[in-house]
Amino acid sequence: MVKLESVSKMFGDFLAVDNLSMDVAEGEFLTLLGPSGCGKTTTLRLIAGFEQPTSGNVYIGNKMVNDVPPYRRDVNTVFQNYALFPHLTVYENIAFGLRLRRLDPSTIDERVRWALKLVKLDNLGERKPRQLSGGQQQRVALARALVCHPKVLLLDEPLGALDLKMRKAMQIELKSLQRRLGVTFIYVTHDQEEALAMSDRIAVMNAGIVHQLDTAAAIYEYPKTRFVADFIGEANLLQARVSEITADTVWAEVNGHRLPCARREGLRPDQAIWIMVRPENIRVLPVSSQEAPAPSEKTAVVKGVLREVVYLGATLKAITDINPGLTITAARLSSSSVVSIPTDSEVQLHWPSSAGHILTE
Amino acid sequence: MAVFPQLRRQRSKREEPIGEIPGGQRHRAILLMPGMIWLVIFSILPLALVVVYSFASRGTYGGIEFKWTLENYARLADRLYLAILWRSFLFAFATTVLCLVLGYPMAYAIASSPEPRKNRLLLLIVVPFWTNFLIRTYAWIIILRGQGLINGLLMHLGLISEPLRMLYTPGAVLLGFVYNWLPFMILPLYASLEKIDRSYIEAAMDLGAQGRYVLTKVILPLSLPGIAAGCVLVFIPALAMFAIPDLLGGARTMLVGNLIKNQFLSARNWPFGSAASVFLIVAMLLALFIYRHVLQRAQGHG
Ligand SMILES: Nc1ncnc2c1ncn2[C@@H]1O[C@H](COP(=O)(O)OP(=O)(O)OP(=O)(O)O)[C@@H](O)[C@H]1O
Ligand SMILES: [Mg+2]
Repeated sequence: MVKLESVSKMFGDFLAVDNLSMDVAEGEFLTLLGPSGCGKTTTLRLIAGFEQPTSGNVYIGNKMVNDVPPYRRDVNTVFQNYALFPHLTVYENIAFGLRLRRLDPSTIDERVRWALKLVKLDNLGERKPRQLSGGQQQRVALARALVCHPKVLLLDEPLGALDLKMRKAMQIELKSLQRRLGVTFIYVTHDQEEALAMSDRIAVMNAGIVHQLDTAAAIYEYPKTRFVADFIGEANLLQARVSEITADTVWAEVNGHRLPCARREGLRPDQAIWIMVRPENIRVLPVSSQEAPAPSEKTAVVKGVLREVVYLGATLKAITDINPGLTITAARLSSSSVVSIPTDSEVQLHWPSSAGHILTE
Repeated sequence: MAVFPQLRRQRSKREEPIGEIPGGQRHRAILLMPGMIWLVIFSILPLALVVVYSFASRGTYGGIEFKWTLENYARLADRLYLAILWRSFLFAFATTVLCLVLGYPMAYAIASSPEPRKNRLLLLIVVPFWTNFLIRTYAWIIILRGQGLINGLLMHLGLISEPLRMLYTPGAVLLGFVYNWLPFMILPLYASLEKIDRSYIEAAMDLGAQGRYVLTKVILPLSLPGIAAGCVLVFIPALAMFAIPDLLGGARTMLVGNLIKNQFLSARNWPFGSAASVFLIVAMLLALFIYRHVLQRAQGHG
C-alpha cells in the first residue's frame, strides 16, 4: 500500500531520515517507534507529501508519488497537535474535506453524521474545537481524516496529549476501529507499550535509521540491535565474547563467567558480542537453595550479591551485583519467594539458555 | 462555617487578576491617579465641552452664547453638509478598501518570508515614519504637480504634450490617504497572519485543498481579527483627516475634517463645528462597535 525505497531526507546538512526502506501492506497497522527527534514525524511528512525526499522514492498504492502534492495524495493525517480549524464547528471541520470533493449536500451530511457517530461525538457537532476536551478534539481530528475514506491514515502521536487512562482506552478503540474499517494505519509514537499493544508490525527507529521492522513479539524476543533491545522493554545487556560453539549452544564468556546462549548462525570464536536476557526470564534463589538447577548446556547460572528489591505493584525487581561493573536485574511476581531473601546476602541467578539472545550490533 | 478558612483565602487570592498590590485598594487608586487625571483633563473635559457647545448658539463676534438650541444639528442636514459627510465617508471607505486590497498580499508576503528578510521588510514598512507627516505629503506635491516628476518624465518621453492635471484632484487626496495609512493596515494584518499555525494550512492541504481554497476558507477567516483591526486603524483617522485634503485636494474635496477645522478657525462658528465633531465621534463609535462585533464573531463567541 505504501512503499518507501531507500528514502533519505536532509535538512541542510542534517540527515533526518537515512536510507529508509519499508513496505506497508494493505490494512496493516504499522507503527514507527523511536525516541524524540529520531525522524518519525519527518517520515510521516514524506508520505503525506509535506516534505520531498532528498533521494529515494515514495509509492502509494503502487504509484510513485514523489512529485504528487499533498492535496492529490490518497492519504489523510491526524496531526500531532490535531490542527482543528478554530473558526469552524466540529461539523464543519469534518465536512471540510468532503466539500472539496463537490459531493451533493445530502451525501456530505450523511457522511459527516456517520463519522461523528464513529467517534461517538453525535451531539457535539455544533461546538467549536476550543469548547472540547483534549480527548474529544482528538476524536474530531480522527473523524475529519476518516470521513474522506483514505487508503492510508497517518497518525502522528495522536494520543500524546491525553492522560494515561484515556490513552489506554483510546488505544483499544483506535485498534478496533482500524480493524473494522480495514484502513491502513501508519502510526507514530515514542511510547513502546502503545506500540506493542496496537501494532501488526513495528519499525523501531533511531537517529533516522530503522533498526528493525517486525512483529511486536519478534522485536521483543529477538531484537536485532542493542538499541532495540534497550528501547523495547527492559533488558540486561551483557558484554561478552564467543568462547565455544557447539551443536546447539553458543558458550559466551562474560566477566569470567561461562554462559550458554541460544544458538545463532554466523558467529565465530572470540567474536565480541552482547547477550540480552529479559529480566522476567531470570530466577533468583538463595545460594544454599536445593531447588537450583546445576549449570549445564540448558541453564545459565551465576552467583552474586542481592543488592536491592524494588516493589512495583504486581511485580518486583531484584538487582544483583555479580562482579564489579556487572549488575543483573531480575523481574519476578511480587508473590515470589524473592521477598524472603535478605538483601546483601549471596544469591544465584539462573535462566534457560534459550533466553540468552545474542546480539552483534 | 468555613471549615478550611486557610484554603478558601488562598483560592480567592489566586483568582485575583493581577497579583497582590502592596497596600491594597488605596495603593491601587494612587497608582491609577496620574493616568486618570491626564484622561480627565485632556480627553473627557474637552469632549464634554464639545458636546455642550454643540447645543449652544454662536455669539455675534464668534463667541459662544449659552442659548440652547438644536439648530447646529439641523444645519448638518443641509444638502451642502450632507454632501460633505457622504464624501468623507466615501473617502474613508475607499481608503480602507484600497489599503486592505494592497496591504493583504504585502502582509502575507512578509509573514511568509524567512526570518532575516522578514525583519528587513518590516523595517521598510516603518521607514516612512522617520520623516515628518507634512514633509511626506509635500513630497507628493512635488511628484504630482504640473512641472512635477511624473509630468516631467512623461513629457520627456513624449507620451504627453501637456502636463496632466493630477494635483488638487480627488484622486490625489485618495492617493495621499492610501499612502499615509497603508502601514497601519499592513502591520496588524502581518501580526495576525504571522500567528497562524502552519499546521492549519497543512491540514487543509491534507484534506485536499489547494491555493485559493486554503486562502479563502482557512487563512482569510483566521486573519479576520487583523483585518478588523487594520480597517479600524485606517477608517477612523481617515474619517477625520483634514491636512491631506488641504494640501493635495482642491475645492471639491472638502471633507468633514476640513469643515470642522474651518468652523473653529476661520468661520469662528464653534457651536456648528462642535455639532459636526459630535457627529464624527458617533460615526467612529459606530465603527468601533462593528469592530468589536466582528472580533467576537471571529473568536467564536457569537
Ligand atoms: N524543517 C526542518 N528543518 C530542519 N531540521 C528539521 C526540520 N524538521 C525536522 N528537523 C530535524 O529532524 C529531526 C527529526 O525530526 P522529527 O520531527 O521527524 O522527529 P520525531 O521523531 O517526530 O520527534 P518527536 O517524537 O519529538 O516528535 C530532528 O532532529 C529535527 O530537529
Ligand atoms: Mg514528531
